[in-house]
Amino acid sequence: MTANGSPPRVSVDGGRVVVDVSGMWSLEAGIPSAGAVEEALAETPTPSAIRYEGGDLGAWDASLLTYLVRVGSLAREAGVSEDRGGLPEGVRGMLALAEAVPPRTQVRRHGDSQQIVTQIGLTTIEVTRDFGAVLEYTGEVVLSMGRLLRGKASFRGADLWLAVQKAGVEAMPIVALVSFLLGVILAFVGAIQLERFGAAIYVADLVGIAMVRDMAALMTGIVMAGRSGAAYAAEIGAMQGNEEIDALTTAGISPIDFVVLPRVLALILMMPLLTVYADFVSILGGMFVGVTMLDQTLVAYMVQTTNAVDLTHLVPGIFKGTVYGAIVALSGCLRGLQAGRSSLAVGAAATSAVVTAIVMIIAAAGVFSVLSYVLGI
Amino acid sequence: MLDSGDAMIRVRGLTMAFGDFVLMRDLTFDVNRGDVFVIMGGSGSGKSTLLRHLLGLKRPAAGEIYYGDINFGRADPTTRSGVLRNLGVLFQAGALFSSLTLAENVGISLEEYLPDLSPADVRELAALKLSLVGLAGFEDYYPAEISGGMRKRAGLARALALDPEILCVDEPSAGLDPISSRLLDELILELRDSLGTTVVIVTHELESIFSIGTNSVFLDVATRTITAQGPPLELRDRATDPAVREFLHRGRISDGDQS
Repeated sequence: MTANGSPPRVSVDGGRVVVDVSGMWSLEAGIPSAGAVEEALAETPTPSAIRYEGGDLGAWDASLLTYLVRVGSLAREAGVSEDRGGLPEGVRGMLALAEAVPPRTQVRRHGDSQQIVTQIGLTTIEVTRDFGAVLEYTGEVVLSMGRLLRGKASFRGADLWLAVQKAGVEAMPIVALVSFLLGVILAFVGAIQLERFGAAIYVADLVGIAMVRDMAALMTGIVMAGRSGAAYAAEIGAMQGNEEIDALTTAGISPIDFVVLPRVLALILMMPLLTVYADFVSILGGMFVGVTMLDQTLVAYMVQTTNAVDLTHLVPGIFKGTVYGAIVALSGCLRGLQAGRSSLAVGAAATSAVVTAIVMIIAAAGVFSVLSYVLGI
Repeated sequence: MLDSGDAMIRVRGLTMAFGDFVLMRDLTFDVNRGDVFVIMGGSGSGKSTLLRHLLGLKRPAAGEIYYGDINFGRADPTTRSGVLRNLGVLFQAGALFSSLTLAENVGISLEEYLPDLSPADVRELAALKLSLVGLAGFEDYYPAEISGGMRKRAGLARALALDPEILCVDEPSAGLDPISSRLLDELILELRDSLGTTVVIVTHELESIFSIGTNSVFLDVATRTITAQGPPLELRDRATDPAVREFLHRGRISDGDQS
């Protein structure tokens, strides 16, 4: 008699292993280990069968079935047959159902553990393919822009203005916050060093040039990557899951024209404006520090800034901002279009879009720095 | 049946694969004019994937798909878009564009293919198509504001926007109650009869298969190819393949039947 939780009795009768499962079975008491059966099978010189006895079986649940399945797989391993005659009909029926599941060989499984060499190989193939896909996609966007210029793109003006509002106007508060604080931080860092030489007035030059040339565009690009790039990837990824992209294709409308183009154009139009806006706000941030903490006059700070910052700083900054905007929009839309059809895939697409955009922005910023050094701009 | 002159779609030796993984191979069948052609098979047998191949959304790993005399896989973009113009598709969940109203959803392919239509004409046509599927008065609703069944009917209206010669429907009954799904079946039949549309349906709903299907193919998961083709009712009574019989009898094969 098996009390709740105590293991079933296993005995050997001739060449047969007898498993007595009488008693109460409940998941709360846990699932007994099949170790006793394994030992019995090992001790018996030539086991012929496993016989179950359940004459006094009380209430039972999945714990009994799990135990029996475990014993069953031991029996298969040892190559002995099972005699289930002693089990009640309900248990036998459930076991038959559990075993009736055909092995599903046609479904692909991912994530099997692989050798490191295999992983390196697969990753290389994937990266190469991805590079090809990026090239193809960039080409398609360029072609689509050509169609737009010829007035042949399936492009809705309303979509563009909506994207302009979302990526441009609605991004202004966060861009203002980030650039104001960045201006403040730069001013403080500069002030500590420059005050030692009595050159605190040059804080205005530092903030002005650093922000206008590089930092404003860079920070705005990164803010937009998190804000709009992720949103684009998620939106388009969800459209992919809902078969909307397929519906566009079968309606003869290029998804690039209809979905990607308004978003890319919106960011290319808005990023220069946001960059100039960020320049302005960050200079305000620097000015705030200069006037309130460093005892500079407003006029002195403004004059110093206007003397330091000229078009050779402003134009490259705006150009960089525009390029970063294009990067953010292109990578967001690309990852959305590449997304799979599950809700998990949408999250993965958003993550991947932000990562791609930030990596590309930083890489582009590096290239710009080297270029401007070489060209002496 | 093969090489009949009236075939709208001819599929020859089509192999569908995801990378190295072959889903179905050697599919060969014809869809004739005026057919309600059912693609059936168990879950995971590649019914929807076959439809995606027919729509050109996936490229065949091998084999050809012909629309009339046009080899769809090899056609240039202009020819392809000409083929697509004659194809209406109702996707599983409607796949309405969520940023557009129902009228705009229906009107979008009209605008695309008939750029000379005035916006007022497009709207009027869209309203007409919506009224055909029982959605008169819902022109300015957004997809998120209507029920799943209505979304499906709106999707049907969009599929019919250009009076296509071929209407493809993916799982018409998915997510619908029995009555709505029967109404949708009847609607499809009515459209076939009055517009002469050829219909390709992907489904595993036996009731639909028997009530509207005039021809069919059965995709078998185990052998990864077509194991039976013909009118569904005939297949139910005369098919020799046990998997087909089991499918069409909901897994219950009565002993009295010949097998």
